[in-house]
Parts: sequence; structure tokens; C-alpha cells
Amino acid sequence: MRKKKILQALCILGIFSATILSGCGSSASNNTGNNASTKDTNSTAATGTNDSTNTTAPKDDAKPVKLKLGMWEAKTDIEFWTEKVKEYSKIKPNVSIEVETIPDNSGQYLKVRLAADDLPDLMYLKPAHFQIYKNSLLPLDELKAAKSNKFPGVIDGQTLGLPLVSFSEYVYYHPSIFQELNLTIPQTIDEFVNVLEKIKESKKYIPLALGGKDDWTFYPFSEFGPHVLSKDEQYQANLANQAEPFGPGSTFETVANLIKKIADDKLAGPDALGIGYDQATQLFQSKQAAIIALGQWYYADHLAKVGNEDDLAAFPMPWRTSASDPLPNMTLADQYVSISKNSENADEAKAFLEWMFSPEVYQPYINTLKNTSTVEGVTSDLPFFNKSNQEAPFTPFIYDATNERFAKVKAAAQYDEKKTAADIFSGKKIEDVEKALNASWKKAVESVK
Amino acid sequence: MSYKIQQRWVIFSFLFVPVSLLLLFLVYPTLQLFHYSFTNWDGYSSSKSYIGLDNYKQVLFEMPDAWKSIGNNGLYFVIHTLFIPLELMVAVLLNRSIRGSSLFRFTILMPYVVNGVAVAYMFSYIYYPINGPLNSLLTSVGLESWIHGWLSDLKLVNFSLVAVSLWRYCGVHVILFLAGLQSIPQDLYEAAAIDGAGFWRKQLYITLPGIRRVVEIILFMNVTGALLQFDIPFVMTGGGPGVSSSTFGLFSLFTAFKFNNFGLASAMAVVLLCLIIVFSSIQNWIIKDRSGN
Repeated sequence: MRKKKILQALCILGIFSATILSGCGSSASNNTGNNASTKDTNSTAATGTNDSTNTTAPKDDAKPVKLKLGMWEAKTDIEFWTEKVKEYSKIKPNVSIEVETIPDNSGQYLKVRLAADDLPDLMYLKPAHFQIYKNSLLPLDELKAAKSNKFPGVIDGQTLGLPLVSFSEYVYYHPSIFQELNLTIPQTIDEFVNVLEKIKESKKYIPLALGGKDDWTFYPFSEFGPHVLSKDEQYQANLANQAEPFGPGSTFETVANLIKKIADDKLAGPDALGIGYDQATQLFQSKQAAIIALGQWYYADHLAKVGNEDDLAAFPMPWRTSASDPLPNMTLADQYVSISKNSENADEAKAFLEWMFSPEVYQPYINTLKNTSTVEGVTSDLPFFNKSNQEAPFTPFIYDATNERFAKVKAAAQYDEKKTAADIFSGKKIEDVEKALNASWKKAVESVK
Repeated sequence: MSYKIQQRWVIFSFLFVPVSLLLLFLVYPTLQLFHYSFTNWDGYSSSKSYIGLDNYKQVLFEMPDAWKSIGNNGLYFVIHTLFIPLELMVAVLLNRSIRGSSLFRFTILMPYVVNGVAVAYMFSYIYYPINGPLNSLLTSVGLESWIHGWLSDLKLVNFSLVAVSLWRYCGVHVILFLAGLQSIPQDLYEAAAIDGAGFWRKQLYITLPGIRRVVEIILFMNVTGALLQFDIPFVMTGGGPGVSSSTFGLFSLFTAFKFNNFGLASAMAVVLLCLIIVFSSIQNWIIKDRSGN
């Protein structure tokens, strides 16, 4: 009887131990051909003929491969690639591609995956994030797609990502309102403010739609403004070497004054900090607001919501003080596709990347997104922006957000251009903001070797 | 095998799983938290360097925004604390046999049951400046002058958020008080009534001592809830405008993920842990039973 009890106790203990040990054990053996977690996926695996290929053994004995393509929640991208990758599985029956949604494009989710050494095989990255991921990305220099890309993401001499899109920043407006109020496209910052003032005087429209509750919506002003006004494409790199760059005479202060003017004169409506991006775009789309400043990427969103572009036009933000100066306009590449160094199917991932950027795949993609092509020989069909650019020609000002030292100093100083803009907009004194920024920036510059 | 050894085996086997889980999911992460707080780990690199107490120095002496965030947490704490007597009064009223008290009890707990993010979204809509329900209500009763930027006015935003927190958490406090009140034997009240005690004397000498444990729990929940406040400001304002409505938890999150400084964020978490311990201890000392019983 006693022995029986002991045996029972040992059995229970054994079961518990086995459960815990199996739970804690490595799952590597179960992940053959797939180094990424299956959690949080869009479960849009383009298995196509793959399942049958697996079960019936492919004629060429090719190993079944499953690749994960991680992209943030850009609806048009997700819809396009979810359908398109099915074609790839027809070309390569042993390869299936799973489009995985990355919940945020600020990189927080992927950073956790990076720390856990669990990056998707291919993923979208922002140029500013290359410094974080650079040691985990595969160099792509030898790829044909890299050679034909206009804006390859080159870090420390190696191409680590290829952008799918490039775009410029625009100020969208309703031509009917401009016509009604007898306004013309502003050529300088002062003229831009005058236009806003005149729209306000009409008391019919909110001059500028701004969703300040989502502080990222300040980026055309606070992130790009000081950069373009400096006329220096290496502005960020230089900023990282200055102890106190936020003060009188700086381009930061010029933009800060503009933001303060918009706030104080209620040029963005009665409570721009109380509404978010969605509400701001609704105000613009319903013609309650006359102007909205966003990137080229907004155009597709506007078409989807409004259904036409009948009362829509755009001009570049006039970041200059004299109309006789050249007009620079922030132009940047985005949605860089990179390959994880730890992908178990790096060669297949490279082949898939080549396919993504091949003209027959890339052309419909760029047409769908209404952005500018990044591939030599592939042109985007953008009549709306071609017309805008003819009416208000500009010089592209290329945004370089990949400087390592700037990224480190900015993080150490906990500097967020958009939050700073919201601070100023909410009524904080510019000199106080500058004083605090300079203090933290100086410490950060000294601490980052 | 002796009976004593058998007993030990049984105890060991039963304790093995819970203790293992405790070590794995509580003790180990806490130790790691302390470990990271002495490093400059960025959250993703395989290497990290020990930097001694630098992170603590930075949190305590070089981060005014962090202390502003703590101040915002303090506002949640103070206002919630001021509402505790009111919550007790509501519980006392609901404890009496009045018509519809069961419906009230259910209704008052409802906000706590609703998902916090949903609550935050709901109030975002209520505070919406263009045709939002709150502004519409004020307009309809002729109080247009009371309309403000509920989530954009620097002086008002934290009060708007605390109001949401009160709406959500007061109900659960009332229910806990109610449970405490119902655990007090009725014969104590009857004996007091025979001795001629009135309503207020009964509350002072029977009810309050009888619910001391519940008060301790509620005060502890109040401290932890206020200092760990996160979801409401995160969803409704993102800590904005700027960092005006940021709480310490939100500030730590941004430090860790947006600015890639897990070491500093870990030090913040340790500071927060210490604050919770200190405040809870002070509260417990204040309401300690000094009657000698």
C-alpha cells in the first residue's frame, strides 16, 4: 500500500516535471523552414499548390519552404501582397509566402522579435530603424534588384534594404475653396500663413486640418521643416555634433514660431489637439477644412474615402523665405524590404525579393499605391502629382534618416520632434522648450562617444 | 520509506509546480529587472555594459519629465483617495434594503467589467471637441462657456483623464466595501441599537473597525492603481499634449521602446516598485489598529 502511494506520488511528480520541461524546451525542431513565430500572423499563407506538393513529393525534390513577409498595417500593401504572393507559389510550388502583419510601424514590435532572435524572413523597415537592425540584416548588394534601385538603404557600405516606394510631401487643398476666396498657391512660408489667415477670415472653413491628438501628424512641420529649411541634407548628422542646436536663429526656432502662430491664431481650428488623424482627414474630406499637410501616401486614402479627386489639388510646402529661391521639397524613400540574416531560407528569400522588384510585379504594385517608383526603368502612373508638380515645380530634397550618431543622441536625449511640436502647440513657451531641449541634447552629445 | 519521508514527498510534489511557476514568472523577472537597471541595455543587443547607479541618478536627478509624470500619477492617487469616503457612503446605502439596490449594485460594477481600452475609446468620443456628446450636452443646457478642450487644455487634460478613471474604478471599491459591510454580524448593530447608539455612532464604532481589512485592500489598490495608471492616458492622449498627461508607466514604456533604453526603463520600474512599497506602508501605518485589541 505504502509502495503504491510512493509510486503514485512519483508518477504525479514525473508528469508535472515532464510538462514543465516540455514547455520550456526548444521548439527549434518544429520550426524547420520557418524561423518566425506563427503568432499574430495575417494567416494569409499563399500555400496555393504547396500542400499538395508537400504530400505528393515534388518532382524536382525541392525542399518545401515557408517564408514570412512582415509588413506593418498598410491596408493597400497587405491586400496587394496577400493576393500577389499566390502567383509566386505557382512559379515556385515548393515555396509558400505568409504575409504577416506587424502591429506597428514605429518598430516596437519588431524590436521585441529582434531581441528574441525571431525576425520574419523578409520585413518592412523604416530608414531610421536600420541602425537598430543592421547587425541582423543580410547584405543585398549582389542582387539585381539592389543595382536597379534608386534609393538603396546603405549602412556602413552595405545595402541592407530596398525601398518599395518613394514619395514627396505635399499640402493638399480644395481648389474650389481657393477659387471662392481668391487665393493662390503660396510661394513662401509667410504666404502660406497668409493663406491660412485669409481662409480663417472667411469664417466658413477650418484653414488647416491637423489631428494633433496623434502627435505624429506634426511631422511635416516639426520633423521635416527644420531639415528642409537648413538646406543641408546632412542636417541630422550635423545636429548630432552640436551641443545646443535649438536656439535663436536655428531652423528649429523658425518652425517652432510657425507652429505657435498656427496654434495662437487658431489656424488649425478651435481644438486641433483634441482631434486625431482620422477626424482631421474627415474634416478635410468633407470640405470643412481647406488644407491638410501630408505625404504623397495620403492620396490613395483620399481616393478610397471620397471616391474622386474632383476637388483636390496639391502643392509642396513652401519651405523658403523668398520666392526667388529654389523650392526644396522633402522627398524620401520608405517601406524598405530587408532580409533577416538568420533566415533559414536566405537564398529563397533573396529570390523572392528579386521577384518583388521585377517589373511585372513591381509595376502593378506601384500603380496601386500611387507612390513614386524606386526602380530604374519602372515609372509610376501619377497624373495627379505630375499635374501638381507642373504647377508648382520643386527640387527634391532627399531625406537621410540613417545617421547612427544622430539616432543615438536623439534616443539618449529622448527627443521626439512630434511631441515637442505638440508641447509648443499646447502653449508652452518656445524659449523654455529650447532650454530644456538644449540641456538634454548637450548631455546626450557628451555621453554618446 | 518512513511516514515522515512520504509526507515530505507529498508536500514537495504538490509545491513543486506552484513554486516553480512563481520562481519562473515572478522572482526571475524581478531579479532580471534589477539586473537590467544597472546596465545600459538597449533592449535588443546581445551585449550590455554595467554602468553602476547611473540609471538611478538619471531618473532621480536629471529627468524632470519623469517627475512630472509621477506628479500626474499623484493626481490620480489624491482624487481617488478623496472619493473613498463617498464610495463608502454609497456602499452603506446600498447595504440597506432599499428598492432596486441589487440593480444599483450591478450597475455600479459594470464600468469595471468593461474592457479598459473600450472605456478609453468611449470617453475619447464623449470628449470629442466637434459635436462630442459632452459639449452637445453643455450647449443644450446653455452652458457653452463651460466648453473646453477636454483633452488638449494643459490645465484640464489630467482631470479629464482622472474622471474616466473614477468612473471605471469607483464601482469596484463600492462592491468591496459592500462585501466588508455584509461580513459584519447584524447582532452587533442590534446590540448597539439596544444600548441607544444612533446611525453615525454605529458606523464609527462598528462599521469602520469591521471593515478595516477591506479599507487596507482598497487603499493598497488605490496606490498601485494610481501609480501604475497606463491604459487610459495611453489610449486617450498618448501622454499628450507633449508629455502633459503622461504617467510614469507610460514614460517608462516610451523610454524602453521608443528611445531604446531598457536599462533606464528598468531603473524607473524599480523606483516605481519602491514608491508603491513606501506609499502602501505609510497608508497601513496611518490606518493601523491602535486600540490594543
